[in-house]
Amino acid sequence: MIIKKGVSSASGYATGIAFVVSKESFQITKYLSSDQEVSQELMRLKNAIGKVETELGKMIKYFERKNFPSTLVQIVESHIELIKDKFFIMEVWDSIKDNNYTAEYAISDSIRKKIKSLDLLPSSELTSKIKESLIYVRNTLMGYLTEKSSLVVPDDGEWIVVAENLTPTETLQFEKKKILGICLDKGGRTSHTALVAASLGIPCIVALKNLTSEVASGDTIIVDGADGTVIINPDQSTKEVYKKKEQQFFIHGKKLQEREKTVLPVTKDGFHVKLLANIEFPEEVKIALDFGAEGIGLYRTEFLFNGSKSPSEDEHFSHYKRAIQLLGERELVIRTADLGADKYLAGSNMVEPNPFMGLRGIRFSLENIQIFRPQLRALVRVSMLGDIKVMIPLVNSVQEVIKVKSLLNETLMEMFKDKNINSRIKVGIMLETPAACLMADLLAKHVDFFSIGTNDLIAYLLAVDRTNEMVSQLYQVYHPVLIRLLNEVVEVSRKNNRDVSICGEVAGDPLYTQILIGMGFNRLSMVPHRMPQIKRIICTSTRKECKLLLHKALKMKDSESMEPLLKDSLERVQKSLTNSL
Amino acid sequence: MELRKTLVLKNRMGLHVRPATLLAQKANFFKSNIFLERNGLRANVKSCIELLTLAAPPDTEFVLIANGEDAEQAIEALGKLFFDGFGEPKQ
Repeated sequence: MIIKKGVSSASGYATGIAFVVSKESFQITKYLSSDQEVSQELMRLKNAIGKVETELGKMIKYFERKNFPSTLVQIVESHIELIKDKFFIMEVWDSIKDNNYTAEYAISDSIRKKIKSLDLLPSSELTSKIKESLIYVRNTLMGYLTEKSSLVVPDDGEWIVVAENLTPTETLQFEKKKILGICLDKGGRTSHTALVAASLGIPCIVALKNLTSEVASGDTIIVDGADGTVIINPDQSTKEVYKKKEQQFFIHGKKLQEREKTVLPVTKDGFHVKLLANIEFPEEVKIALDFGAEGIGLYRTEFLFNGSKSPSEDEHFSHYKRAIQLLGERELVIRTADLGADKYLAGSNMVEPNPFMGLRGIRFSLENIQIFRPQLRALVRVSMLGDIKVMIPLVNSVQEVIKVKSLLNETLMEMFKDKNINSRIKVGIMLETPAACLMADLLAKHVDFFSIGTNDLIAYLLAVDRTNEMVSQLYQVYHPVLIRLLNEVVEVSRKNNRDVSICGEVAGDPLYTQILIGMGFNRLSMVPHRMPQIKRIICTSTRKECKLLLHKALKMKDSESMEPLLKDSLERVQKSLTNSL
Repeated sequence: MELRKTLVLKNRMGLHVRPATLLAQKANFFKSNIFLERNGLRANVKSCIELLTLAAPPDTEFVLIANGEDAEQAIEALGKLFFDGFGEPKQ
């Protein structure tokens, strides 16, 4: 038994099997075997860079959707810039051509020279950071060249990852694996990797110096996030002590959550706001329910399209079924694939000058029936198992709704030819274009419910692309036009007797909660971890004061005056909350 | 047209990954060839990896050189990034 002391950066306890990540394990051949391979080698390099870019792009979207700190997004953005540095690529390219090197060797050689030149300078925190970045570029490209990601943790087993250091990007890959803890030789308490570990709920110990050389893959390891220690190959009695600690920690955390969970999100004067969750994977249902969600208001299905082929009917079906099983009787809104714009199918070479306004959402699905049909069939099948609702993205006209509904009916007919089965599937639409919002009264006649996607709606209302840094400051979440439009849509929905929810970031934005209550929104769908705070705001507000706030807000002429008004109101509620404790 | 401007790096960490990528991103908007020189070392500002190899600590003095039709705008835009300390909290 060996005990090592480090710094804890994310609390909790874990016992598992060590998986030691070695970063120097790439086997490199120096020369290509014949001249003909040069062009092939250049293609490999190009493909690898392309893949890294797409992967990191996805990661950024993921971070943003999960509301991770913007500093994390910046890190990944920087990584993308490093990987696609034209001048570096040219250098490697020339080296492949001139020396007949393999892509792996050319990259490794070029990075080694740069590191060597850094070694001539006095060493400092800056030079070591720069070296880390260069090594990151090398390892990432190598990983994708050999068709492996730089970290390949086996799918089965309960692992504690031991590494010299990890990038946030690498850490994030652990979400889908059974990783119980992370131990790093390097890093600091507030490093970005530590933040990611904390948000995944994994204990993480950093600054363990040379742990990687003292642990072998397969050793049993205990991670003590309270103490900042790591125990290698613990004896039986130590194991038992930690088993108890683990249980207690778990129970204590559960108790706190339990207490929050049983509180209903109702205002002091009795207005119930149903809190629903946005999810991407069926397994997230569990997290959502733990945070007190009353159902799933947005199940995004784009992640099913990550593979090289579009998913089959059975793949769709098995995911949806899993979600229903976990949800029980609670409601489930499944959105049909919102492909196009920033989410393309693997292997597609589609280039659009303005994808954001191009073939995306339902437009894409209606143009690619062969991709859409398996999803519809799966939705019909799963509707026999529970009360699901189908939601269509980026609808702009009544025609589009009619087309989808008739496709759905056709599907039903061909699946149950002779039997007289009535479709019980409720069909609703996203309101995320100004056109759809302003036509809500007409659309209401053809759909069962609405959900407002505020992220894209703001962009379309203000004609601002928030990923374009030249104009991103004009992407104003508190612009009066959004508040006015939301207020009108909720009114129209009420008149037409249709449920309306919000599933964009606005739904989980504490500054928005009261004004949305004022308008009368009683369904908000958000990322699960936002729920506790939103719930507390709801429980300490009254509908009456929220209406008053709305009244004032409707007179505001710009975002600069709107934001302080909302902040002020939120602060007052929070004060009364602390006083009541 | 070739223009030069002397700039001092004012931020806490020096020319690390974030400032380097910001500089490279911005530089790639311009047609001019743009370089940073420091003690005889020269880096292409359009390449963040080259910028990193300068390993410039805080308070380094640079000469920013732009050569091309939009040299003036390039110097102004990149100079502004230096001036704003790359959006990082002030020392």
